[in-house]
Parts: sequence; structure tokens; C-alpha cells
Amino acid sequence: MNLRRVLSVVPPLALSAATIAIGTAAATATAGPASGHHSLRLVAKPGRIAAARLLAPGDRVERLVELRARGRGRFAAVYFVARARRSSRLDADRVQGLRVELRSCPRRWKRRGAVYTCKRSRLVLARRALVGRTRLKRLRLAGGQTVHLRLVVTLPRGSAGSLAGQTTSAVYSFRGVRAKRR
Amino acid sequence: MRLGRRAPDPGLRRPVRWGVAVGAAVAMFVTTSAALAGFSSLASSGGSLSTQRIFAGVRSAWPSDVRDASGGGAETNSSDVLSYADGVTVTTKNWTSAFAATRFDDFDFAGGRPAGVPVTSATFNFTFAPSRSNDDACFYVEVRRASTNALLGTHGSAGAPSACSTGSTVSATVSISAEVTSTDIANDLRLRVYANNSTNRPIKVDLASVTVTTPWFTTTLLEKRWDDEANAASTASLWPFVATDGTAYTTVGNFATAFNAARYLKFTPNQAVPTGATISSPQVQFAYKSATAGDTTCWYFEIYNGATLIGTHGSSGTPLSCNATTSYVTNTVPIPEVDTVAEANNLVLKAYLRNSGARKASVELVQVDLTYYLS
Repeated sequence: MNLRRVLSVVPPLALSAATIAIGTAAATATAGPASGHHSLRLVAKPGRIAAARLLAPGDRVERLVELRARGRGRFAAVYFVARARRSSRLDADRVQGLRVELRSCPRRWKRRGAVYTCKRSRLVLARRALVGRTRLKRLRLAGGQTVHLRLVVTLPRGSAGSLAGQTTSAVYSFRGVRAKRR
Repeated sequence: MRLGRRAPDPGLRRPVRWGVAVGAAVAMFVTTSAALAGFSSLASSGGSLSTQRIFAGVRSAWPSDVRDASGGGAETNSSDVLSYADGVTVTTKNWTSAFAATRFDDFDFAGGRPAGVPVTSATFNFTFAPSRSNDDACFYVEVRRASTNALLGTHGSAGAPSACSTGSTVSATVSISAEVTSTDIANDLRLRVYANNSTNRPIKVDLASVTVTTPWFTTTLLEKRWDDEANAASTASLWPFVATDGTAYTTVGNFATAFNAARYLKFTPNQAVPTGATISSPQVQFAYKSATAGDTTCWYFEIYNGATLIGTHGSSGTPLSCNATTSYVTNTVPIPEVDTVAEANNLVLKAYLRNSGARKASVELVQVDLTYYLS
């Protein structure tokens, strides 16, 4: 095989490699239907989280999310993604704006007054700006398992007055990447 | 076909090769997606997250409307001349017939409005006339930050002034909405007025105020500092009551040695609490002393909602405090009776004073603080 022929197959191979990469990336970033009846998939409840209104600096809002893995296998990684369907300074200001935190509980969270408690809760997402994507490294989830999550949204104490009168519509999603089959 | 043998038609070789490659890539895309990256996701949609329209905070107001009955007779209107279009004017120093960059008047305005509120419109109100009716006078303005003197914008120019007077009083309004876009700027506002006079004389100013409209309230900002540099030299006049800065108001008349219902000072703070606001922790700060060393001045006060008495703090028998020193003493007094927006916006403070020497008193600060938020 002469050099010219070797070189002539490089572009197609490069294209193929690039396509594989794009295919993988697109697959993990796009919600798709389960490929089979028993395929592993995530289910989060409730589908809609109650709105929080009239937030003031220092306020915190707690909401519960039940995350269940259905099917067989396990997830190699679970990501928490929050985006703003309707953006405002509340999410655009990543310092003084809304912050989010996630804790998991092996059992259902118990309500005590205005807060939810769990004796063996575990921090799975350290407090961060609302909008973003974070791998939940401390969250392990295999088929048939359920984790009880408490989502806490806070408006930092001392947030500027310019954050008053703002509204953000947030969309929270959990994305699981299935472990390779052996 | 043997390996290494060239295809018969060279023109087809490259498209075929690319077609094979693309086909293979697509196939790999599909299989890779299905086999390697098996995944699932489900969005848990949150509703809206919204904040209060105005966050809780302490907002202060100071009086520009001051009535002085210290002498026991009729009230003297000691209100700020520049804050009301009432025909009472201040006279500037001499301008020149041509505008000059070094000849201007600065007006700084008292703030106290909740920070961060968007402003939907802002208007500079300037009522003026040349000092003589047979003169002409014009002006244009610059919008600046009071704290830094940073220029935000200019309205009008030497060639095209904002307004002119041919001798009579002109009530001009200049939109400054482009610069005053939030209460952060409104609370730190300076208007620089460049003026001229056809005969190099002063102008008379009846009103220099700013009307600010926000989605939640409308308010008028009143001046607290006027720096007359019409002759290119600074002469600053501070309105008293706004800060403990040594600038004080000395009563027109003498108080008596005993309290008297007819001897008082009446202050109307320039408050602008939005409708629907929830008020807490209202208080008055009052700094005073005798005008003459060696005298002792005592005081107590009443709070009115317009003309209706709603609270009394201290009494003629038990004054709130007395000051025998030559330094100002500041009293901070809660006024819990002020718990509605109407009471806050119509608040009148009536201070009764007595002076051991039957002489005047000086008041440095009159400030009403309200904590409020708007849901």
C-alpha cells in the first residue's frame, strides 16, 4: 500500500471517529425513549415541583423529589441539570442569585414544621448556582432502587435589591448514563 | 479484483470511498448510541421561583417641609425653597451671556428609596426665571452620580438649551429616564444645570426636583445640597436635617422656658412607601441642642397621620430628653403607631421644645426610618 493510498483513507476515518464521538455525546445529552422493556431508565416524581413565590433574601425552599431507577443494570453516572426556561437575574446572577443543593435519604423525608428531615441524609450536590450541570458522584443508583432527594433552593442573605421582583422558571432534570454491559 | 488494483473509473473512486466512510460512521453512531451510552433521563419540572417586589430594608426620609412656631405665633414656613414650586425662590450668583463649562449649579438629591428598583420614568423639574423680567435666560442639564460626579448623560446643549425664559417664570421638565434607570441611581443623583443670562445676571430658581416613577411607587426627590457655581466659584448650601454633619437649622424664634402647645416645630418627611408594603420598626431620629451655650433644651413630640394625632412620645411633664451641652444629642425613638402605608406617607412630626434661656434651639437631624417590604 503506497503512501498516497494510506493518506487517502485518513479523512474518512477521521470522519468516522468524529461521528462516533458525536454519537456518544449526543446520546448522553439527549433524552430518548427506552430501547427495550427492561432497559434501565430514570423516573422522577413529582413531574412538576410546586412554585415558590415571594422569596426574600435568606429564604430557603425545600422540595422533595423521588428518583427511581427502573429496569436492569446500573447507572455509571447520574447528572443533575437545572436550566432556566424563563430566565431572570435570579438565575443569571450566579453569586447573589438562587442557589441549589441536593441531599439524599435512604428513606422518605419526614416533615417537621417547614422543613424536611432525615437522620441519615447525605449531601449529593453541594450548594451551587441554580443553573448548571453537575455529576452526582455520591449518588449510586441501580435498577429497582429509589433515592429520596430533598432539593433546597436558597436566595442568599444579602442579595441585592435588584433581585427583587424577578421570576425564573426552572427545569430540573436528572440524567443517568448506563454502565457498559459486560 | 485483486487487492491493490485500481478501480477502472478513477472519477468514481473518491465519492465511493467517502460514501462508504459516511455509511460506516452513521452505522457506528447508531450502534454506539444504543450499546455504549444506554441512558435515560426524566425532567422534573419546577414551577416558577419569584421574589418579593421589594426586599425588606430600612428606608429613611427627611423633611423638606418645615413649619416653625418656636415663637408661639403663626407658623413660619421654613421649608426648603428649592423643593416646592411655591413662588419662593433662591437667587443664584451671576451667570454670563454665553454658557461656560465652569459655570453651573449642582443639585444633589436626598435618596432613601429602596435600592435596585427599576425606574420607568424620571423627570427633572426646573422652575426658573431670569432675575430681571427684561432679561433672557436658558439652561441645559447633565445627569451625574452624586457620589462620584460621574457623568451619565447630557440633555440639551449650549447651542440647543433644554428651555429658555424671556423674562417670565418657566416651569421646565427634562426627561432623564435614559440615565436614571434604577433607584440605585436615583438615590445617588446629581443634576448639573448650565445656565446663561443675557445681561450676565443671576437667575431665580423656584423648583429643582426629580419625579421618579417605578412599577411600585412614584416619588419626588428633593434636593439636599445646592452648589451654586454660576460665577465659576463653589458655594454649597446643605439642607439641614438630612445628616449629622454639623449643618443645622436654628429656629426662627425663641422658645419659652416652659413647654407651650403653641411653640413647636413641625416636620413633614418626604416619604414614599409603596401601596401594599408591610411596615415594621418605624423610628424617629432627632438631633438637637441649644443655640446658645449654657442653655438647656428639652423636647417631646407627637406623630400625626395628616391632621390626626396618632401618637405622643414624652410629654410636657416628662420630656423625651434634655440637652445641656453644646454638642448635638441624637434621640432614637420607636414610633410603633406608624404601621400602615397611609400613616407612613402622611406622617407629620410635631416637636415641642423648651429652652432654659428662653432662646433658640438648633436641630441637626430629623429622620424617619421605616423597614418595609412589598410582597
